[in-house]
Amino acid sequence: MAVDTSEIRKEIKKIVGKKFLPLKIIDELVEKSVKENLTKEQIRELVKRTIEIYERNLIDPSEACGIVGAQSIGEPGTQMTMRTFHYAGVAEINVTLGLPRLIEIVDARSIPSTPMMNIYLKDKYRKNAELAKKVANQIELTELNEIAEIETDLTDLTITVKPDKDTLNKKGLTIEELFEIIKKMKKISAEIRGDEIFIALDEPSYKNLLDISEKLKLLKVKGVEGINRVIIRNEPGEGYVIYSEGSNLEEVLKIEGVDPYRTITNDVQAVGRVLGIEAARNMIIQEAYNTLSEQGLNVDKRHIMLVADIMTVDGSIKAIGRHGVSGEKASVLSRAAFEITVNHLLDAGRRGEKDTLEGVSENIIVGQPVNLGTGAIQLVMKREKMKRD
Amino acid sequence: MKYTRFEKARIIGARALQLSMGAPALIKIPKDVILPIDIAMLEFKEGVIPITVRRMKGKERSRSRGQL
Repeated sequence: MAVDTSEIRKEIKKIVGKKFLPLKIIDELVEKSVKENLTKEQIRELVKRTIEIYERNLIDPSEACGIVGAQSIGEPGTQMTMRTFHYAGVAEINVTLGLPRLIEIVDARSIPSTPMMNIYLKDKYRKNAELAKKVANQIELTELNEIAEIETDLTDLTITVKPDKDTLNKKGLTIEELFEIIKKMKKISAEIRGDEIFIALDEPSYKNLLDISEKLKLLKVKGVEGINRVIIRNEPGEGYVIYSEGSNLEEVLKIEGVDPYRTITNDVQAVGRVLGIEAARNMIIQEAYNTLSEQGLNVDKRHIMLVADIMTVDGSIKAIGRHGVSGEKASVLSRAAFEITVNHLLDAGRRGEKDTLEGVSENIIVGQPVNLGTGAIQLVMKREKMKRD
Repeated sequence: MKYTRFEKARIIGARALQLSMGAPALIKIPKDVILPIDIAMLEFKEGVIPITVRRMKGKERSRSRGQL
């Protein structure tokens, strides 16, 4: 089969020739032609018509696509419910959706208000409940006070940690492992006595005792920082999938058994940090599109793609609005038209800034045709026609 | 050359202005066509309008306008 596709791909590329089709469409054509077992003649016709439709759908140069995009997202946005709290799927994880989520995406917040992850597992792990559980245990953050009782002895100024055997087993920990973790703490000396861990202070005092016992309670024994709760579900056709409340892409990807290619988080900034700007762009598109269609609003994907492109052009994720795109515009007049007009003009004057009048609002302000649509077209006389007369 | 809809509108508009100011039509126009815009559109269809567009890209395009 693999040899077959390359042959067909070459054929299709030959038919496309000097014209243009995006790679993704060519891929789709190859796939379809193989699947339907098309003859050369049929492929030729298919490609020809695809090019025709593709060219008809192309946008004209100097079309005001930004404004059209803004309207096309803005209008359905007014239909969105102001405040919706929704529980994703069957799992009891609370996820911000609707308008608040859309605002969050567009503002490029560093941490979403309800971070969550869908953690997919590698083949070996996703079919096996035991292994999936093991991975989940490594991900869920466990503090010492969840698995053990911490008793302070005020007369001896000592602390005793009494782990609960059942929960310890459930988390796949042994008392030795627990001891190793506790031993790393500063200013104490610990030892195992039977089922308990006995802790003596290096500098015994009431204040130290209190401090240390508080620290012990919050001691991270297992799991990934930031992930407070995980739910394992058996998805039909997929196997076990871990859903988590809280997100930490960097650390979760390091865990053995996690499939790094499919695991996703709703934290766009984290995606940008870990997987790169292109991944972040795709993430913005997907998240925004899903939030809109979840509310029953059909916005064309290309409008959202434009927004995502603008947010990620320079390699970092910028917000739409004051602190991002609008505030960083190169043109003084454009910034002044957006917000705090006087300050922007004053600062620009002091710095001696130059405005090249390339944008829309600048040209409107100075009163000349805008560089869009018919306004962007320069007419010239047809010389050869003149000579003939 | 295939024109975009903006280019078409601009060319017809420019020609219609000439016609409205008294320029003679370049082709034979039916008696019932009176409006300059309609005449310009007929001329455009025939391809006789001696106007075309200058397509620019990038820097050149944005510099085609006055600067502050």
